[in-house]
Amino acid sequence: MSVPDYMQCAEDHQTLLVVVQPVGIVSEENFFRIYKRISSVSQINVRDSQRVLYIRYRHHYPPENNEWGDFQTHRKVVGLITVTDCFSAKDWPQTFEKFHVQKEIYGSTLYDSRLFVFGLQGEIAEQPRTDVAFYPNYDDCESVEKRIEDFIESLFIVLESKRLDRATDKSGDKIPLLCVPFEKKDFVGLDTDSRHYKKRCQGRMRKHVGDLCLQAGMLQDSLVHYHMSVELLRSVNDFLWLGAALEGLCSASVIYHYPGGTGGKTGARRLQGSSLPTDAGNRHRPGAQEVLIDPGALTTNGINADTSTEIGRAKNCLSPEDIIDKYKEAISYYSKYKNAGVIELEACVKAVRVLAIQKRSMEASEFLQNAVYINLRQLSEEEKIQRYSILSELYELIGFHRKSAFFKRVAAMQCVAPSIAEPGWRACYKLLLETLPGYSLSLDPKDFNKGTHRGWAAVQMRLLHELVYASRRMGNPALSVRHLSFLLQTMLDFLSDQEKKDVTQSLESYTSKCPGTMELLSLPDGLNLPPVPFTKLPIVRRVKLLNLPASLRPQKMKSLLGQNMSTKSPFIYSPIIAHNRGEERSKKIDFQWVQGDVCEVQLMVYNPMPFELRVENMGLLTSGVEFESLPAALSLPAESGLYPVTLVGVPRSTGQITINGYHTTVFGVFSDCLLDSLPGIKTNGSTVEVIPALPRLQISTSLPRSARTLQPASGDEISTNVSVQLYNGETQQLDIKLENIGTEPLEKLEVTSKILTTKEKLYGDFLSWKLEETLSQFPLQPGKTATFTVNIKVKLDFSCQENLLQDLNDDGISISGLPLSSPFRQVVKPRVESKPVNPPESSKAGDFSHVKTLEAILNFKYSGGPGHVDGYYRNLSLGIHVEAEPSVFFTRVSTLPATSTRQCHLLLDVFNSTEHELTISAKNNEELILHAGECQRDF
Amino acid sequence: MSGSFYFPIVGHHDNPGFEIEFLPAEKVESKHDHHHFNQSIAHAALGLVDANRWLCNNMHLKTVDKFNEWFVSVLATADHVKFITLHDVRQDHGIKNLFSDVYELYIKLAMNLFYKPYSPIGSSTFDIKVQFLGKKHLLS
Repeated sequence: MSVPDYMQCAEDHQTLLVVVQPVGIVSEENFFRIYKRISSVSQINVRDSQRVLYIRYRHHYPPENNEWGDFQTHRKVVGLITVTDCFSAKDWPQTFEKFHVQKEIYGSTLYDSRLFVFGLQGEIAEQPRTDVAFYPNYDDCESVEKRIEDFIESLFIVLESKRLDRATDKSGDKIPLLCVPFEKKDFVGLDTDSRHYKKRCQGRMRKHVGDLCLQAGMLQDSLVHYHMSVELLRSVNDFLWLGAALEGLCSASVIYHYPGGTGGKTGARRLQGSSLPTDAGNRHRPGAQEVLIDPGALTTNGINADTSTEIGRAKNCLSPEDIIDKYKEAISYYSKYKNAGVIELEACVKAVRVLAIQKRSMEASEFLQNAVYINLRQLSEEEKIQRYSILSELYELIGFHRKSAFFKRVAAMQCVAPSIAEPGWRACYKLLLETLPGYSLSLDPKDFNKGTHRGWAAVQMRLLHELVYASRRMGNPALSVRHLSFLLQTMLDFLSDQEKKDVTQSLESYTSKCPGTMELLSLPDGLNLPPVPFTKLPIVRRVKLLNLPASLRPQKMKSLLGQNMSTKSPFIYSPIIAHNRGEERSKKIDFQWVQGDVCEVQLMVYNPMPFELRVENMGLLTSGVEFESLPAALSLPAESGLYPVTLVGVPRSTGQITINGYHTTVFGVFSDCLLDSLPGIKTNGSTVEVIPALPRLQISTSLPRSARTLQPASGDEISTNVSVQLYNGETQQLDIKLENIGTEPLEKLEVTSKILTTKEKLYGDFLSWKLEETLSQFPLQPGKTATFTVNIKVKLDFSCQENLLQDLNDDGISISGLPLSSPFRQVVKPRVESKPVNPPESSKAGDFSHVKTLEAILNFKYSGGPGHVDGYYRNLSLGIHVEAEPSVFFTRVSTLPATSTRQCHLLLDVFNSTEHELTISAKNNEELILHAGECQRDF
Repeated sequence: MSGSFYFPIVGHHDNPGFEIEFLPAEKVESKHDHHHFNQSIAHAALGLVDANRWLCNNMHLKTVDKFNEWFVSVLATADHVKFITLHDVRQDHGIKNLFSDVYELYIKLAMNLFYKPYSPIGSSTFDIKVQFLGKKHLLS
């Protein structure tokens, strides 16, 4: 016997083996339909007695295994069912002949056989026959199950008669020696009359009867027979058969102890029949009752009353611990015979299944350890695969998942061994996938986000590489890309620099043919491979939604009702409410984006790779609002530090927009990275309100732009600055061109001005304008311009400066006749004064720089379009910087006594510091014309 | 092939914190493939180690598993860190000594405040010392 049945379990010893085979040409589908129906009849309560028969169906059974039928009767094919197609009466004799040929194969052991003919109708089909059943087609054969039941009953009759026959045989003189195929030549010429020989025959026959009893549903009897057989065979050192007797004993005990079965699938089947141990006891009692009518059993064990079966069972049945000991013993006997390798292997497997139920995994692993080293013969590759697979399955059964994964992987590698002409990459891939849980791997990258890495990274990487390779050889590049992406994403921390390069290179070469997607890949066997987003290429540390630039920021018009106040509470301030608001704010951001305007999100990213990382097609993933993302491409230097990346997009509708994540294309793999699944990311919130579109105003002025920016106290930013230099008293017209560069009409415009705090005293209006003219051009359609004129008038008091006052004090002295201070000194002093205020200006202004600065902001509040309807406006600020210079200097002030003592003449030395001619007019006095740079004395 | 040893220290999540190979002097270069094979066998034995450590009073669990010519000897510390030796020759005494010496080293390392328990061991001193111990107990 050379083909082990790895699926065997202890309770198979009580089954009758029936082979179901097709004859002639029967389509596989049809055959297995019938096979399925036939094998559903797996246990039968025999008529008149309450014994149960179990049937094991096989559609394939090697005849050489059949030869071991005497050794263990459950290996014997006792029934044959053939299924055939026959459509015309003419083919019938031929078909029937084939049936006979088929019968010949198992002929020596068959108790009975049946032929199921499909398709034949007419005369032949009408004849009632017991061994042949005719059905018009595969759909119309209700009576199949009934036929099978009848068939099994006929098998039972033969079995029962054999059992009784053999059981009584032992009292006779001649007991034939049962033997296994390889023993036959050993017994040639043996003295058949010796005591030793007789005992051997007796022992073997006892064992055989035990087997038959077990099959016939008489558990108690079989136990008795096995016990006797063990004693007989032990005395003659017939080890092989002693092993078999011990195993039989174990099997019977297992069947008693574990009526649910030990072999997984079959267990479920049996559970339907009788699952409870008490039930099992009842089931066997009727069997024991029949002991009464069994003359053999009567004489041997003396069980003659129903009540005594309890005692008998307690004595004969092995305890769970003993079962294992006996299995060990049996296996040690089997191992003495090289030719009984299969028996030994199967016994190991059966013992492991029993131990698995007893939850004694350590002992089970010892049995398996032994099974690994049973050398049968040169195994074919297929058998090796089968063997490793079953080892893996058994290790799984006893809870050694890692060991199981190891053997499964060995089996997978065996599928594609170099010695195989046609490597089974598909099978290899399937087996490799099954090993994943054993290596603490799953195919979902989400499992790797939580906490520490589980499993042996080096082994996991190797396995993933094998998966990549197998899937590539299978001809499924999408799978290889998915696995390779998974490897890169989850094992990044464990890859060396060189490996990172290698992996990315091969990934790029794969994706050039088959780009990686974000779709769920489904395998034919129902397994789904979730997408692998590259959240680590690059790593995003912070996501920040940016406000619009100040000039485009929408503002809400303050309504009279005070909508801005929290309506939740009647109090202006409550710490509780404030706290709640804070929480809300953590999710929602307190600024708005505007429909149709470019919005920005800043990501802080870094590249963990030792080479330059090219990220293409990087854009935002949003929900809630129609959003047009404008993807960016970037290239991050090797192992860069944090690197700011700004992703932009345009909201196309209004509402709440949520930034869910971003998408990238790296190495040809598309990834959708959701912020929720990113570990350790900092964000200032991800939901923003998008308000309806507003117009955009651009202003340009007639004056040059100023590099200097004003720093207004309120925090408003100023978009444009202009500067102008004016002499005191001069008026300048500032033309402002207003252009609507948005897409909405500009309907409203309000202009306000604000003069920044200054110590200077201003006379008259600094800035004045007439809005009406401009407003007459409104609404301003997109692309249109309007002009707006502002008059800047500088009227400052330069006389009050500290230095002049000082001069006046001096002059007070000079009244008494002291000389006046030199003009030079007077000029120097203000220069020193002005220096800290405006150092660059003062140095530029030359000698006579009494420059004063005036700064003002012109605010343009404008609105229009749908945004206006919702009460939003925009604010654009124009900073005006005016440098005012005095036009005249009174360089010297002195008094002269006048003719009257009540009066005196005030002498003013006036200096024109401008480059222009100017006229000074004093109160009811004549005018004085002063040329540029001229100095005159005036009374 | 014979007389080479593979010695990983495995943490709670089957993650090796430290790996080293001791090879006889004449065989300096270890094949890359071979390394993977060792790792696989050691990984497969972990289930048996877990089962064994509840049955054995001693930290030194002796040989818990074998695959072909490879034996797996294990010392499981009180906090479930596993010292594994994969070997193809029986050298119980040497392995036992190696285990106890490395265990002492490991305790010292574990008491270091800057070492996060069960994380990969990056200390070069540890590496050098284990290397030395391996030569002393296994290869001499």
